[in-house]
This record gives sequence, structure tokens and C-alpha cells, in this order.
Amino acid sequence: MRFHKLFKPLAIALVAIGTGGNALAQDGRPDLTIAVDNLWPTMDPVIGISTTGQRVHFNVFDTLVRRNRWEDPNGNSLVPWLAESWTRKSEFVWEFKLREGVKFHDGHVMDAEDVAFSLSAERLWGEKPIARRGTRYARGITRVEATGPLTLEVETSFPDPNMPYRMVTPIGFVLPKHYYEEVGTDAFGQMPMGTGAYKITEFDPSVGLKAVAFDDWWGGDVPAKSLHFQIVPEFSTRFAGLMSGEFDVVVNVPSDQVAQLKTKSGVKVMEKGIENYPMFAFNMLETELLPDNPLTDVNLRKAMVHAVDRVSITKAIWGDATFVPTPFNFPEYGEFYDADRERKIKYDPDMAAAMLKKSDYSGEELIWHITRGFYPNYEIAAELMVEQWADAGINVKIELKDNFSLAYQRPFHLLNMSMSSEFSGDPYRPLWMDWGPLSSRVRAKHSTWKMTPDFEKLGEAFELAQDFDSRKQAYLDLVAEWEDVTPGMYLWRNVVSYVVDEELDWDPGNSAVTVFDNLYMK
Amino acid sequence: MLTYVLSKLMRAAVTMLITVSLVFTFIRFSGDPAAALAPPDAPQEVIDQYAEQMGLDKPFWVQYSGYIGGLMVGEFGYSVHTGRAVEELFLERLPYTLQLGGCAFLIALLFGIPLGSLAAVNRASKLDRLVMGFSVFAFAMPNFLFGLIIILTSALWFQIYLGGEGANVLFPALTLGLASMGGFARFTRSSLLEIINAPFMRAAEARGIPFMRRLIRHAAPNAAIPLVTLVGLSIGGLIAGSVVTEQVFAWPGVGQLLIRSVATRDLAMVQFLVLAVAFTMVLANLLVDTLYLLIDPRIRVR
Amino acid sequence: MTKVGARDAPTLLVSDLTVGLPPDGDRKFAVENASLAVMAGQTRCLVGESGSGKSVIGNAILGMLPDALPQLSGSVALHGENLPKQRDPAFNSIRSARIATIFQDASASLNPIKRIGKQLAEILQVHGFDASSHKDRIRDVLAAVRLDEPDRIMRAYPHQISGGQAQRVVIAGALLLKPSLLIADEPTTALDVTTQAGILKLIADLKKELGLAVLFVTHDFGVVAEIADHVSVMKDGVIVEHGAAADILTSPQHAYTQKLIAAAQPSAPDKPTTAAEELLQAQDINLVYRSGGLLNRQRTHAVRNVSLDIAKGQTLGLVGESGSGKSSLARALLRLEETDSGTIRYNGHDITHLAGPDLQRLRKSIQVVLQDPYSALNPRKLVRASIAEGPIIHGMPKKRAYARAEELLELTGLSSTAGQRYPHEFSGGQRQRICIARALALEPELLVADEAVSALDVSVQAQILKLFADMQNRFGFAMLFITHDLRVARAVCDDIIVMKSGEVLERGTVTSVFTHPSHDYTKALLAAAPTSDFLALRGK
Repeated sequence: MRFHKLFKPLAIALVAIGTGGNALAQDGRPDLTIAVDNLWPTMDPVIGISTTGQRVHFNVFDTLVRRNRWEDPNGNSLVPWLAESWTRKSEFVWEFKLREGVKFHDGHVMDAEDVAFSLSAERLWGEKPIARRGTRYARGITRVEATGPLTLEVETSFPDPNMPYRMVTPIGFVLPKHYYEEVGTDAFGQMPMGTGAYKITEFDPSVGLKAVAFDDWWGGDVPAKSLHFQIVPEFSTRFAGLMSGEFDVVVNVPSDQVAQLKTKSGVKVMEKGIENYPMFAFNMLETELLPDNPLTDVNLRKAMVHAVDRVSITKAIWGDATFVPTPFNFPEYGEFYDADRERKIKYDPDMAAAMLKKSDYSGEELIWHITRGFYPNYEIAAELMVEQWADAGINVKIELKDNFSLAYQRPFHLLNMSMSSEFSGDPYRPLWMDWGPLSSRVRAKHSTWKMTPDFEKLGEAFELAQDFDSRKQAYLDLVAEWEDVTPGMYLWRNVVSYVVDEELDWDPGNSAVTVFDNLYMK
Repeated sequence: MLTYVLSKLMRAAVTMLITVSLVFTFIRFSGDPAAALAPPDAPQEVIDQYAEQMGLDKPFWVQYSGYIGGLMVGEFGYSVHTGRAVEELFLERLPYTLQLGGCAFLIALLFGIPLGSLAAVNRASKLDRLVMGFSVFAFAMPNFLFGLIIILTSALWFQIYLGGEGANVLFPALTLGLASMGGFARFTRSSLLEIINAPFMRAAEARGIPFMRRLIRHAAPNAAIPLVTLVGLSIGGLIAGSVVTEQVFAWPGVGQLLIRSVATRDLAMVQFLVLAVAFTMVLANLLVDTLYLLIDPRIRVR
Repeated sequence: MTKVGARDAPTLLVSDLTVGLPPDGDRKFAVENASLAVMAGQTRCLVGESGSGKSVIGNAILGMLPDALPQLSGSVALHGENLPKQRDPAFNSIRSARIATIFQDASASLNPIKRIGKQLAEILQVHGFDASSHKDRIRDVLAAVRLDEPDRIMRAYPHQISGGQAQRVVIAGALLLKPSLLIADEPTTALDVTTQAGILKLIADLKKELGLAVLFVTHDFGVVAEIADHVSVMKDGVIVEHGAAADILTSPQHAYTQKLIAAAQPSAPDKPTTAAEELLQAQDINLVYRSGGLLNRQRTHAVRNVSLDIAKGQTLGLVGESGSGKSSLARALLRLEETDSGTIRYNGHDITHLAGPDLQRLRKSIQVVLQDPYSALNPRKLVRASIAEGPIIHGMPKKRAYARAEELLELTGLSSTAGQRYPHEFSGGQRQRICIARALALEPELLVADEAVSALDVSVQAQILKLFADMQNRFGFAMLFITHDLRVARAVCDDIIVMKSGEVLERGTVTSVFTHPSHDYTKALLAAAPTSDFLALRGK
């Protein structure tokens, strides 16, 4: 401790120049510093779709429609946001009525032209759109038109009952047309402007981003005087900054650090389930490199799912932070979610043995491609599962790959991946987009299955169903077929963890997106 | 002497060309960069658009000759994410790395060489053992570990955060320079010991030249000759170490830019950074060779 | 103990000097009760083999004994005045000013990266002389040591001058402050014979001109004969005999002195010279070295039109100074270098362009013994494994090869158990015996000895030369004996070739070359060699 005494004054003197605590600002609002592992190099909210970009986007931009996570962590209800209301004018056309008097950060008032520009073919759905990361959300849009100063029509090539849900995704962000056209795409990405609660003052993709409260925000009071997203790649350094009072919020806590951090005083750990589900796909195809693939046999696939105790494994690894989902029964789907519906294929060693007996499997080695370190805890769970399979007489070998393009290289029997649920009002995306005719499972070089005729037929029915009841029934039929075929297995709902200053009254809900407006922060 | 310089320059140019070509080739054949750039599970059309934007749809030789041709006229390419010229992004980060690397280098020199000299002059004494013990520790300590230890120690004990853009450069520089300091100390010691025991040093003693004068005027310049090589080589170590140190201290320099560019598959940026590193190394080597010319007459005058 | 003339007090008087050795040394004292005196204008040679303690005395006089070698008793006085204790800083004003020193390797005793003029000026500077007169004084003293172009020498760096010039520069430095005592520690050992003669003459001249007292440390009685007024002979730290040079050289009393003197005058062998079959014939050999890169290509014509024959069982001596091309020629004959022109025949076959397995077979029948027995043996291998390695490679069973190795070790004068030890456990001479045993293990027809005794002390040298002769009588191989030392050549060779600058200047039988040299260079070599016939020289 003598060292301690000697060192302290010296250290204080040496670092005094560069650092300072986060004092409360004069007007009583705090200056918040958020330590992030990285920021996406451009802040255009569609070009920069990514976890590392969305930490910022929702503080700077507003979407037409918003999900309410401040009251319901799963955000199942839609809230009118920049759009005050919407109506379905015909099977193919939706009309949005915009809020009046919303100002961009430069004082310019938002109108329908700005929204039409934000949703334009040039940006999102034309031949060669500028913002390619958004094409998925804009599928089927054929016309976007400002029909009045504050009204807008969106037309699709197929009847879409869920268009308002799309407006909570990044394509729903409204950008200032005049400013965007003035500075151009690249410059806009470096110094973007929106209608959100905070106005960006500095952005350097190597250092961080600073934003100040936009006091003309249409949504009311802005709770923090400023936000400072600081890039600190190493978690231990982010943690050090939090412990020394430099940071208020630290994102991306490694899963193996959570338990220890919970014991620290002065900080609190938040574990949030997010809308992403790690899983693996069974490769059900016989290819040149895999001529006698035993996984073409549904009995073996089911035996494998029966043989692993996912619930115990997940509990052992994650505690109560997450759960094992019933296929496509995700809490973020509101009325489609049925807390009582159970998995058809549960942990049951006897069933596993029976199924295995029915199959032709005779101990061939099954190769599981896993991308090293990509999904938290995936490798640990995989090892436990391989042991349980071995007990059941199924021989699985893990092969770790350094990146996805290597993992995609055949031959493999099992392939790791995760699927995001995408909030579109119903499980369209995880069920039909991720397993249907346009999905990588079917189309990509690393495809793993061919749809069964039943799956295809039921999927088309699901796509066409317009009212809730018929759509829900179509969904349940499609899930039943999926479970019958068992082309993959979901492990758990993904988790992100935050450590924050104990005194900060902020909760992001079940999301990796950090929002610091007056609804999420007191 | 002119041929010496010319041959060194020629070798430097060839080294650069080989490095650039290797990186160019390697990046293109280690997984599809366009696929890596597109979001996971993006449809093939989107991947193709990225490939077109980056020119990856053209035949390899066309890409290569285009790239080398660009280099010749100082056209290094644009960052795929921000659309900005890569050299511009690099120059923004360079001052941080220069400051960090420069301070680390100074720390390594200003402590390493005197420590090594002290140890050599007081050979086999307690001081010698202490200095050598310290330099082995300094040399063997991985700098990310040392960096984390001081960052966490100061945060948990003194509530002082040492990382970030505005932090004091002293601690990251110490972290980065520690290994070189240890290396310099050990090498200075052995180099100086060898010279101290050389016949001409005994002869100088027999000519009545006092101890300090022998040490400073005779031993030091001779011992400096091999040291120049080590110092030159240590620049490479400093560059490698600065990547790690910048990462640990959230120091926004070139090293972090490199890591981020690799992670986001920003090809033009990665290529430029490798080029810059190679250039620095080549420059350091040229500098060492030039210094040799200045301090070693056996090379200068034949 | 020492005879001190009545008229003058000695310049240097060493009395009962005893110097300790570290506890793990091979004896108790480095120097034990040594006393000696050197008078002004006279030279005392301190003679002994390496490790005898002669250089320790030199260091003790200079106050430069390291802590590991403490002066335990005795005193050193200069002009009757006791010198400070060892390592006292007060010595700095005595060294160079009153006692100057020159060392064995003059080139190495100059700072390699400072101009010679500066290094000489520094001596003046640290002894407090006015800087304005430095240049003239240095120029004068360089002229005094018979160096032409003193200005060029002053500007030069040590690597730009020859070994002989370097020794003159060092001597110039030693004389710069007009000291009364000069300690010369083997100052000519590293030099060629002609250069050596020049340096010895210079020292003798300067002694006379300046009235210097010279303490000359050497192992070589040839040198002693040339320059000594008085001699002290040392063995194992003790001065075993001393006296006037003439007395010691003509009637040495101590057995060790007798042995040293005998070893310095090897006698020519009385081997019958029978006309024998030719083993190796070389005709018009040329060898050119090319070096440098694209821009600075250089050519060195190392061997020019050399022809020679070696008959079976005979020894051919290849004599020349360093750079004469003798080693290059040997490498060409051994097919280690490709010749540029000429033919080499071995046992009647043309081997000039032999390659592959035939070349391997040739290599087996020609073996080499090199100068440095320290680096020639793998330090990690047992001696018998080193010896047996060759035969095993060429197909001899391991057991037999080891037995043969032990046999050869005994034949070469070592015990058969020596095979189970490592090279570092042996002295230089013993190692050279091991190397010879290793060469003989392959039963060569031709043995090439490249300066094989040059690194050894004289008495050991004589033993090894005798071993070569014995082995040749026993096994009947031919020898190519490469040396710079005429005395050595005379001891073992039947015929001699004298080389200079890649060319053969003279060839003939040993007797004819030594008694009637035809070429001037040979004559100069013979005249310069200090041991050619030193008793005769004394008589002059």
C-alpha cells in the first residue's frame, strides 16, 4: 500500500490533463458517455445498418413508426411517431399521415417530400440502390409518392397487411432531403442530420461520436445534455473507464464476464434478450462431396434433436438470461406468440433411441462447421451437445472455422448460423424468408435443404393470408410442417449485456439498440 | 558509395512491390470480400453490387494492373464505407501513432541504453543483475497484458481512466516501449561488454587514456554500431506493438484503423496501410544503412 | 638476484613480484617471486610459452592487472621510484608518458572507427600537450618509424593500412611522449616474416637512438636471437633462467630453456628420396575470384599458371606469405574451387572436372588438417565419434570404426580413453593430434596440412611436426604442406615451392632452396626469418 500512496499523486498529476469526470451539466442534465466497441464508419441509418450503427441512429433520427419497448421490453405495440396515422387504402396501397411541425436539426421543417426521398427507389428499391443494406426491408415496394405536404402513399407489388411494421425498421428513418442532396451520400454519412432528440456535433469513425440535446425536438424534453459515444475496442478498458467514472454506459459485455461483474458495487449489469436466435441447420442435401449423407433421413434428424437437453444446457450456460424457443414462437410477435405452445420435439433419450433405430444411421461422422467465437457461448454449448449425441450413439465432430466464408465450404453436415426475427408484425421473416424459396437455406451456395412440396404450398398460403385469423392458422400449419421435417434446431434467444452506472435510470428494453430519449431514460 | 546507396534503394523498391502484390493477392483469395462486406445472408444480387463497386468483378490481372498503375500516380483508392481517400483517413490517424510510437521509442532509448551501459560498466554487480532482471521482465511481458494491468489498476485503485483519445500518452507509450527498452538494455550491455574487452580498449588504457574518456569516446561509438541495427529493427516491433497498444488504450491511431479496416473488409484501406507499414520498415532500414555510412568508416571508406 | 650494473640504476626493476590466480586456476600463482631489470638502451627478452605468466608481468608493470589477478607481493620501480598500486588512476599519467606498450595485434589495438591521426593526437591531448603542435609532432614520429606518406596515414582508418604499417603506427604512438621504457608484448607474432624483420629492426634502431629500455615479451627464440641483450626464461609463472643473451643461447642451463631452443631449430629430416610414382600432377592452374554485385564487379587473380607434382609418399611444401595464393591453390587442387584453366591429374586420371560419386571417392583419399584445431572439431561430439564419423559414412561398421579411432589416438600420442572425452578437455596441441587422427582414419593417399602448426607454441609445434613425419613413415601417404614459416617447411618437406602473388617464384628440393635460393624473394624470406640460423647470426 505504500506504493499506492506514492503512486496516487503522481498518477493524478499525470492524467489530470486529459480526463475528467462526468459532472452534471449546469442545467441539471447529465453529459452521458457511452463506451462502445466500435461504430459503423458511416452514420447513414440504412447504409450503416448494423448493431454498431444503430446504437446511434435512434438518438439522431426518428422513424415513421416506433415500437414501444419502454413499457413492454419486447416492444410488441406500434406507436405513431413521425407518422401520426396510417390507413390501408387498397390491397396494395398504404397511406401515411405525417406529424406537423417536426424540425430537422437545422430548423428545416419535415414534410412528405423528405419521407418520399427517404423511401425512394434511388435509395432503397431501384435497380442499383445507394443503400443496399436496406433492400430486404423494401421488398415489393413499387411506388412512394408524396400526395400532400404531410401525406404519403406507398404501393407494393403484393398485398402487404404489415406495411406499418416496416416503418419501424431502418427504412422508416426520415432523412432531410435538402441537406442530403446538398452534401451527397458520403458526406451525409460523416455528418448526418435527422429529426431526433440529439444533434450530432462531431463524428470520427476512429474515435467516436458526440451529439448534443436538440431542444427543438418535437418529442419534448431531452434528458441528457449530450451524448458521447467513445470507441474503446477492449472490454477491460471499457470496464476500467466505467469503474473510474469516465463512462456511464458500457456495451457489449463478454458473456463470460457477466457473473463477475454482478458482484461489483456501483455498477449494474443488464442482460437483455434480443431478437436473434442462434441455431444450426441440418444439411439435408446429397452433394458431390457428400454422396451418402445420413442426414437425408428425417429419423436421424429428429433423433438428434431428441437427444440433446437444450433447456439444461442453456440454463447451465446463461442462467435466467435467456430461454430455448419453441420454433418460431417468439415473444416479439405479439398476438402470434402463444406462451403455452410447446416444442414438438423435446429432450427424450428414449425417443432419440427409437428414432435412431428407425434410421439407417450407422455411426458415420457428422461434421459441424462453427465460426470461431462469433456467437457467444455457442462453442461451449456445442461441446456439451456433442457429448450428449455421443451418449446416444451419434458421432458429431466440431470443426471451427475462422470466418463464415470458410464455414460455408462443403462438406459439412451441420452449419452454424443465427436468425433474426425482424419485427414485421408476424413471423414472416424467420419462417418464410429464412427457410422459403428466396432464402439462403434454399438458394445460396451453402444451401442446406430443398423445401418439401407441403412446406412450399403452406408457405404460399401464409403469404397470401390477409386477416389475422387465417394468417395465424397458416403460420401454425407451416410451423407444424417445419417441425415435421426438422431442417434445423434453434438453441436459444441471443443475449446482449450492458454495465451501467448504478445511478443511471435507463433501460433499453430487449434490444441491442441504445436510445437515450425521455421514454427510455428518466 | 553511390552504388551502395543505389543498390539499397533498388532493394527497397523491390521489397515494397513484393509486399503490395502479396497483400493484394492474399486479400482477394482469402474468402470473397464482397460477400464479407454484405450483410449476413444477403441475396446474391447485393453481393454482386458490392463486388462491382469495388471492381472485384474484373479479372485479377486487370484489377492488379489498375491498382499498381494507380499507385504510380499516387492514387491509393477510396474507403468503401466512407468514400474518402484512404491516404486522407490515414493522415488523420498518423499523428496519434507518431506521438505514441515516438514517445515509446524515446522511452526505450532514454532508459534502455543508459540502463544497459550501467549494467555493462558494473558487470556482475547487484546493479547489473537488477537491470538485467528488469530487462528480461520488460522484454518478456506481453504489452497488452502490461497495458491492461496499468489500466485496471489505476481505474480500480485510483479511479483514474488512462485510455482514450485525450488521455496522457505516457502510459500507452510506456506500455509500447517497455519491450524495446528491455531489448535495448540487454543489447547495449552485451555490445558494450564486447567492446570494453576488445584489444583496442586495453591499448587505450595502456596509452593512459582515463576511464570515462575511454568509455565515451572509444567504447560508446563502437558499441553503437550494432545497436543501430537493433534500433532500426525495433521500429517493426513498435509498429506491431502499437496495434495492440492502441487497441488496449483506445488510442485512435493507425493500428486501430488497421484492425477496423480488416474487420470491415475495407480493401483499399487495408492495402494502403500495409503499404504504409512496408514503407516505414523500408525507410527504417534505409535509415539504418545511412547511419552505418555515417558512423562506420569501414563501410564508408574502403 | 638481478645483475645491476654499477654505473647506472636500471630503468625498470621488478622485485619479487607475485601475482595470484583465481582459486579455480591450474596453479596457485600466475607469477611467483619474479625479479628482473631492464637497463636504458638495452632489451630484455622475457621468453616463455603461452600461459607461462610472461604477459602478466607486462600488465603488472603497467598497473593493469585485473581484479582476478591480484598483486600479492613484490614491487615495480621505474628509475628507482616505486610505481602506484595496481589500477590506481595515477597510472594514467605514467602510461604512454613514461612506460609505453605495444601489443601483439597492432590492427586490433587501434580503434577501428577513428582516424589514425586523431588517435595519436588523443595521446598528446590526454597528457596535456598543446593542441597546436600535435600535427607536426605526429608527422615527425610517423617519419621516425619509417612510415612513408605520414599525412595519408594520419587521415586513414585502421582498416586501410597493412598489419606492418599498423604496428609502426602503434610504435609511433608509444614513442610520441618519449617514454623511457617500452613494453613490447609479442609485437611481431601476427606478422609475416619480412614485415617481422622490419619491425624488429625498427625497435632495435629506436632503442639505440632514443636510449629506450625495452622489455620484449616473446615465445620465439628466433626473435630473441635477433634483438635480446638479456634474456629471462619463464615457465609456469617462475623465471627459471636469466642472463646475457649470448650465454643463454649458446649454453642454456635449464632443461626447459634447452628444450625451447631445440624446438626453435628443427633439423631437416633424413628421409631417403626415392624416385616414386606421381600421385598428383597439376598443370597451368589458374584461379580467378569474382566478387561484388551488378555494379561493382571485382576480379582477383589468385593463382596464375601454377604447375606442380607430388609423388607418392613425398612431401611438397607450399611456402608463401598471406595473400600469396597458396591456400587458393590448395583449394583448387582439392576441387573445392573450380579452376579457370589447367588440368589436375590424380593417380593418372584427369580430375579437373570430376563430379558426383567419383568426386566423393576422391575426397575420401585426400584429407585435410587445418590451422585452427579449436574450430575444426564439433564441440558437442565425443572425440572418438568425430574420428569415426568419416569411416562410418564410407561404410565401416560402427564398432570397428570406434576401435580404429582408439588405435589412431594411441598412435598419435594420446591415450585410447581420450576418445571418450569432448574436444574442450584438450589443449591446442592435443586437439591437433585428434585432427590428424581423424584425417588418418580414412587412410588417405594425400594429406593436406594447411598451416597445421602455425597456431601452436614452438615446443608443441616440434612435437606435431615429428608426428607428421612418423605417421608418414608408417602409412606412406603423400603430403602437401602449406605454411608461411620456412623453418617449419624445412623440417618436414622433401620439395618446396615458393609462391608470391599467385605465382610460383622458385621450386626445388629443400636443400637446394635453403642453401642456394635463386629468387630474390626467397632470399629475402630466408634472411628475414629470425630463426634461420640464429647462432650464426649472433656471431656476426
